[in-house]
Amino acid sequence: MTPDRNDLEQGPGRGATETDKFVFPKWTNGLREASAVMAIGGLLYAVVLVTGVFSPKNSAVGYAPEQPVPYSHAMHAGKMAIDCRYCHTTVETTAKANIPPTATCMNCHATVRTESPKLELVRKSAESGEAVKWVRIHDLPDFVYFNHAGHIQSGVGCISCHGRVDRMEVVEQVAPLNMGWCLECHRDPAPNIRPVEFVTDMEWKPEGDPRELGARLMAERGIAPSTDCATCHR
Amino acid sequence: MAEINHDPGRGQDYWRSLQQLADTDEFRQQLDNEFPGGIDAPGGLSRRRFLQIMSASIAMTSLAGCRWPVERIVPFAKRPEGYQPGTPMQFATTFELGPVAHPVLATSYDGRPIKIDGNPGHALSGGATSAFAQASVLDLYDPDRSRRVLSRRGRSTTETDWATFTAWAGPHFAGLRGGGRGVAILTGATSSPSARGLLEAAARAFPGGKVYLWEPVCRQNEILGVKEAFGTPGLPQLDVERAAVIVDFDANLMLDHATALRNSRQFAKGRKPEHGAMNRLYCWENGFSITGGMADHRFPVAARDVGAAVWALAAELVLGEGLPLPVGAGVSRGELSAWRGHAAGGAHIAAVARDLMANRGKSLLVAGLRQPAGVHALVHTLNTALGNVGQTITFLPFAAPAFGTVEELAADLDAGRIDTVVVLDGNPVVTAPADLDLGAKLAKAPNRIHLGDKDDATARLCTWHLPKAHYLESWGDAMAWDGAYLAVQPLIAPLYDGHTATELLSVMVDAEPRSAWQIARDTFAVLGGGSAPAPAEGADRAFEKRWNAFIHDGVLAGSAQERGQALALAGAAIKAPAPGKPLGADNLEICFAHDPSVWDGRFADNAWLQEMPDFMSKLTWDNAALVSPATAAALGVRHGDVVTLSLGGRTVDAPVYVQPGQARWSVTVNLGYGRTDCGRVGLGAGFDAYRLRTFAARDFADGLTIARTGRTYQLATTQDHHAIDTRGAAEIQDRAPRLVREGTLADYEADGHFVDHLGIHHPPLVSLWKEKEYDGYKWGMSVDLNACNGCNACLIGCQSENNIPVVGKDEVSRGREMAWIRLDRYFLGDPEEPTVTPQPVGCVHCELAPCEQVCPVAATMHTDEGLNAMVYNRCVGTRYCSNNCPYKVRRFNWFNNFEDLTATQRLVLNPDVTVRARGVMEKCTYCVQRIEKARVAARVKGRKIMDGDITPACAQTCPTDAIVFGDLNDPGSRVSKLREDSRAYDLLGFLNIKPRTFYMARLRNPNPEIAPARMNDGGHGGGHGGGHEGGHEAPAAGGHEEAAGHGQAAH
Repeated sequence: MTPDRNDLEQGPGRGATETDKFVFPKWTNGLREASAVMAIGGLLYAVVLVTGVFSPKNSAVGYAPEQPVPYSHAMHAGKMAIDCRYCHTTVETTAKANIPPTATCMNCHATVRTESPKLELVRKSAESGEAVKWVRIHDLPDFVYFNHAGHIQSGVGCISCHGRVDRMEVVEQVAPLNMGWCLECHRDPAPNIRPVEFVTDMEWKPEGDPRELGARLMAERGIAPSTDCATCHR
Repeated sequence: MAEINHDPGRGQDYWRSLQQLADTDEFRQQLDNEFPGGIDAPGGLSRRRFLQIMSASIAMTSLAGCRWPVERIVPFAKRPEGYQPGTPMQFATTFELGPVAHPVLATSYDGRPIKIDGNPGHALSGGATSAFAQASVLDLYDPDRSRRVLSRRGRSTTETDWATFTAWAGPHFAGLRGGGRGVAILTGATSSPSARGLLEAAARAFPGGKVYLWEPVCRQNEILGVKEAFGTPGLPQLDVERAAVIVDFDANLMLDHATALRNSRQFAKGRKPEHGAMNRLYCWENGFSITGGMADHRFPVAARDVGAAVWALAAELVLGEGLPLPVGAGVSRGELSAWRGHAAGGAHIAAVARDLMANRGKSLLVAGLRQPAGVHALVHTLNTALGNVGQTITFLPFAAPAFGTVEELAADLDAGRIDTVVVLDGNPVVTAPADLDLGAKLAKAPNRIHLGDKDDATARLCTWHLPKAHYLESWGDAMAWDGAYLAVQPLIAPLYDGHTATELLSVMVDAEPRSAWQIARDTFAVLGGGSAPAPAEGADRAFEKRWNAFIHDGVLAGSAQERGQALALAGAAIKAPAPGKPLGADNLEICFAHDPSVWDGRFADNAWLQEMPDFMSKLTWDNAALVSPATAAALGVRHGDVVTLSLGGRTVDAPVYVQPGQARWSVTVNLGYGRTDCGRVGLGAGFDAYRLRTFAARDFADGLTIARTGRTYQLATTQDHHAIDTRGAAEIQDRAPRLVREGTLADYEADGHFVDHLGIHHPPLVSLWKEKEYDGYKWGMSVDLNACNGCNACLIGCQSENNIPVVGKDEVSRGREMAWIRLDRYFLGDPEEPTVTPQPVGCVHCELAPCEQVCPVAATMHTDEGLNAMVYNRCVGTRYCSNNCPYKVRRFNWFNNFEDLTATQRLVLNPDVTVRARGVMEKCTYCVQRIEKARVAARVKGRKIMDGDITPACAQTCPTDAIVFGDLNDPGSRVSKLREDSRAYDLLGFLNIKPRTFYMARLRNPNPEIAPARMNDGGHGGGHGGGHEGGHEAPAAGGHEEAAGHGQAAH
């Protein structure tokens, strides 16, 4: 029996006993049919969301923004084989590798290619003291504290995270730099550990199994990376 | 207030507040509801509306989140040598508080100062520093600092700049040179040799005027007291470490004294029973100071009676104990005889005298800065008679500058003798004695120049206001109390056109104005035996080398005097205190005290200090009229009542705070509140006690009357917040002796393990959980209650290091203060004369942490080294962890506390620590950022982390070295050795949650003639009234651990 509309509006205490029970209004009848559509829609939404979030396309991998100065790592670090640490001087001792000041560029370019139009901005910066504003590529969230020195001193090569920078005309991000990726190595660092003297060597290959060498170096140097939250988040 | 259920026969009754002692409804509410007040959104939004807005903004941000913002890296064009971007660097500089200079190390992160620590290269600091010095970095970024030079003519104010001012000032002062109507310079006390030199030059250049001194918290009495006793002014140098018996006459040796940090450290060193004998401290004072809290015997007397107590002690020593009066003593036996047995000395004066006689040459008497010079002189006479001079106290010669007083300035202004008034810093219109009415008199000088950090009441009455550079923006110098020559160097260029007092003086005096850098260098050249001007930069390599070493160390090597000289008494007669009208309900004493948060008002806009609870009263954001419980009862006033204080026709309304241990009939009011001319932070906090303070009664006076207004006022105190107890007052009484364990030296000597018996015994503790093995580092912390005096320095150190937000008075009164360290203090005994024991409690990092077991999202996790880590980005804010924390050390972010900060204010944040957002729980992390930093540093050096590599912010700043952090798995570490000490105990150890922070029991050293030598002489568990004798029956298989419940069951 459908209750009278008036009964419903009169509220409890006034009407007949039927009003004591809650009855769904009529329009809700359509919901049963709609629920199937909603379920499918929800599923689709979830799939799109999950694939979207986890797709490498949507991670920062491959991010290679144009820089204000078309600096070529392939030329400097690759062809001319300048060591990473010539410019990234603080990478072994501090948290940050640091982008070199203009003065570092001018060490050579005061005499080399002094007329090159590509170096216009560098020369201007050296003259005026105004910095070159590079675009950041490897960007971690602000609540993540990464330390270069700790990794370098443990024998993690530059290549492990930054890829073959010596072959990049324009630097791009090769690793997703997400937490899962960090943890992969923290849980099983052996394949990525090398003797500290070779950390910047892009061509270095271990003799034999890299895992075996890594495991030996870890034991020798007491390397036991932590997977505790507080290691990176504080 | 409800009736206090104090039963004098009961012995050890601990309580944190009178509300708790009386078990009021208010206190029960605090206990029942850890998060009182419910949630209410900012701006009065309803909860529903708030959720609507939240869901909308979440939807929008998730869309916006698809775009990763482009970030720029901006390196230097030319990087300064030795500078590593992103790596904090420390620079030595000096923080001045009045005439007392504190050598500090300031940490700079990419060019912005973020943290202040003590300079370990100087004996007065030893690496420790005060709460004021730590908090001073916040003032640098105060958004209400004045930013522009202001020129005021009539009613119009024009913003202008320093160049315009100097263009006016140069010819103006040139015209005033050599006489006529004068130039009056009103300065605060400063120890800077450069400033002194320039002030003296100014006094010579403008003979028509004078340099006048006004420092609201003045140390003149100390210096004049030395002069009165020895005929020559001097700075007393204490060696507390050598003293076996110390008598503190209202001196507050550990907070207010000029060498408070060193005194605290030396006092704590003298209280290690493991190292042999312990010192003994007697204290006469009116308000309850932290030194009073450390005293073995404290005698609350009105401030005016402190002097009488010194006379009574002198009489007892000379007439009772036969101590010969030394040659040159300014008193005679006859004069003393009238004072023998004076009431101010109390019943135990003879026992104190005997104790002093037995420790001649090893005792120390000190009077405080509020006490008149005559009291100091008598104290020095007694020190001489007892053979302490040259042993525990020496003196550094001090050339007191011949400056005028502010009273003379008022007279000179009145007489129209002054053309130009120059106010160097400070806010004399507010702080100068009320009877001088300096504000009105200033107008009689046609030209008025004010240098200060705020456009305050004084600035508004001046024709020129010049922004003052913060000390972290300034070049300069200072003299420490031990004569060390200190450097002041800037870490950052002035943010707002600020200049130093020396630069302003140079504009007035020098033909060619010098920069502050040049002035400091010139002084350095002169003091180094050369002459001014200093060689041009780089011209003299030897000079540059010396200068650079000076700037680098912050202290001129060899300039600090380890000890002063022993002086001989000069024989000037010492005036006895005049007997006044007896104190009573119609003749109360008022005592003006500088505030441990805002000092004389200069830190009124410092939010860290405003929210720092006063150690004894636990008041935040306010001052109050402190009265003792008996006085309150006699006057018929209750806690929170607003009363009118009347003194000599001046009145001010103030809320009453009933302070246990306050002297009877003596009302203490703290200065520096009630500001109407300060920035946003200090506005509306407290009442202005300066309005009662006259030139004659700067320190204390009687004749105060109190009248009820019928109004009440809400005081935000934190004393009942986060109470560790949940089962009511009876349970608290039973449990407190186990939370804060203390005994006497005799207890300790009779049974080294007495501490363990203070708990109740229990069967072996069995864990429900599979316990983790810690085979690497195992971090732990020890807190020595025998050393901790409750100075609050750790609180501010922690706040500065860990980006802890300030929440404001309203939120504090709801129990939402955020400080990670809660400085508990437990009163014991009679509310009129209680003893007190401080206990700092932060997260104790339980191995079997109850908080971790209830977190639904694993936001609080254990690390392999035993840290109870908080993962902010996982936290969803259920607050279950805090409910389940037995120590109540977790703090919840009810709001986005950093949201409203300006870009400038954000500069003070430590980039190594995450800034927490709304809805996130936080707590002590053992400074995990420092642990990780030490780990990398050790890795770079190719070694393990060694003991001492890691110092958490609290331990780093602790003047008494009460906090020790280290690896419990390293048997050689300091903390491991302390863990083995018999005084070590776990807080709530019987819960079997295995806290990593442990405490070292407090020991008192009572004079057996005054109090029983033993507090805990009933053997196991007996003698504490609270009654857990039942503990004996329980099997004590758990060694000396304690147990829950058994004591209860026996009742």
